[in-house]
Amino acid sequence: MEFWAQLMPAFRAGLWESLQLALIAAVLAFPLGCFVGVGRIMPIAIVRGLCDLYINLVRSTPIPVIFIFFFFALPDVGLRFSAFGCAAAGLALYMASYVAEAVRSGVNAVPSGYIEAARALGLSERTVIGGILLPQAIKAVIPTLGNLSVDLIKNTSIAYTISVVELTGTAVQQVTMLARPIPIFVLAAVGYALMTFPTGAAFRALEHKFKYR
Amino acid sequence: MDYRLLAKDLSPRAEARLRAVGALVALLCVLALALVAYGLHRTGELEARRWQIFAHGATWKFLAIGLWNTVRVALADLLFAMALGGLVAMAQTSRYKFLKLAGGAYAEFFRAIPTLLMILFCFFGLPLLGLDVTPFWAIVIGSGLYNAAVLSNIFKSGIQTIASGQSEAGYSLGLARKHVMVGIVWPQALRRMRPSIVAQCVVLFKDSSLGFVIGYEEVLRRSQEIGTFTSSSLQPYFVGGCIYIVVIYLLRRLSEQGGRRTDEFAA
Repeated sequence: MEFWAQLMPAFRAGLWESLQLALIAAVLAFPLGCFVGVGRIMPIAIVRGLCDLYINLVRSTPIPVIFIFFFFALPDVGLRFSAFGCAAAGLALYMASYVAEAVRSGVNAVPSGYIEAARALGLSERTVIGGILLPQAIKAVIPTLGNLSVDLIKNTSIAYTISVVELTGTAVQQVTMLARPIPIFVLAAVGYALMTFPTGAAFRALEHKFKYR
Repeated sequence: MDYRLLAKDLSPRAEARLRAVGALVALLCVLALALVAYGLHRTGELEARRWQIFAHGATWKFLAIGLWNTVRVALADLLFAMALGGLVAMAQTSRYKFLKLAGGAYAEFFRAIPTLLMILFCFFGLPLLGLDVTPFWAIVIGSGLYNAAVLSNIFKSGIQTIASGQSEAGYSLGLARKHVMVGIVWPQALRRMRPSIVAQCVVLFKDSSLGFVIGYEEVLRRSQEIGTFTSSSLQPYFVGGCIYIVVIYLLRRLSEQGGRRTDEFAA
């Protein structure tokens, strides 16, 4: 009992750090992903090319490579960020490429008749994209976005590679201090489950809500 | 929906505006590139002596062995995950309620936990149970447990998409359930699921870079070692990152092509 009581304060802090990281990354990644996703269907060749390049590049990069490059390599050219900042920015960039891909497949699922009808009504391009195309595209990919959100939460653990003391980092710290890896890692696993299961459930509820309307 | 639709029948004014935006973006790109190049030049990162270590064949051999280690661990991981995932999928589609529940619980639980946490658990936790775990096996088991959960779901949905008429035909021929599953349902399901399986291979390959944390000698760890040797960071991490990016990009292209080919057969 004393053992668990000893662990709790550190774990609460670690859980909070993970949650903050996930929330900040999500708040940055979803709008960025939408922009890049829309950029890929823009009738401007260079914008399409850039968005394509971004998606292909980032989706081909393992997250540790992004984190380590931000944290260890960029200070060489005078760009120094905190470990937390590197992790948040890296995660946001990484997840945005997946969101963009999801948005694109959602856009593909919208029948072209909607666009033609909207233009026939004389709506501006901005309304066609922001008001007709995107809402339907995003509705179509809510399950994918749910999976991505769960992945995002799990990926915060990789911030441990650049010494952010989030849940995984806390667990490793406690293991080196208390030398009891099994209960400590199980506790960390429960901490992640506490974040991922409600997230998954929330997106399933959202999906259900849109399905029957 | 296609991007060409958004560009169709635009007014001359809208077309001019799009061209202007395009030109502006191009200008910004050139500016950004110039800024990066200037920054690198000013801090001396582009000087030849900083890159000199990569002029030696031994450096590339060192990195190539790192890449081989990455491939090796990914292959072992794949084998382990396929075998375990197959078992879990069998449990999930079995007639026995207990096995069904156990399989479902396995898939739900292991998809909710970060792979890195499981690799660390295997690395620090399994030795206490009397197992001698090298970093290699910690990655294979830790990442394999997660990938087995994902693969089991792929297998399960693959099995469920095979029309029930197929297995019913088997039963009416007097085949036992195990023969129907092994001889009729699984082969068709596997063929249909191949694109998803190959896509999961890309994830699995990316995961092997997590071995960095527990000192597995993969490309990233070896880049770091080169950096320690030359006391630089940007150059070795850049090269190591590029190796990963190129290999994973090729793998992704391969998986997308595989998907297209299966579609053709399925049609």
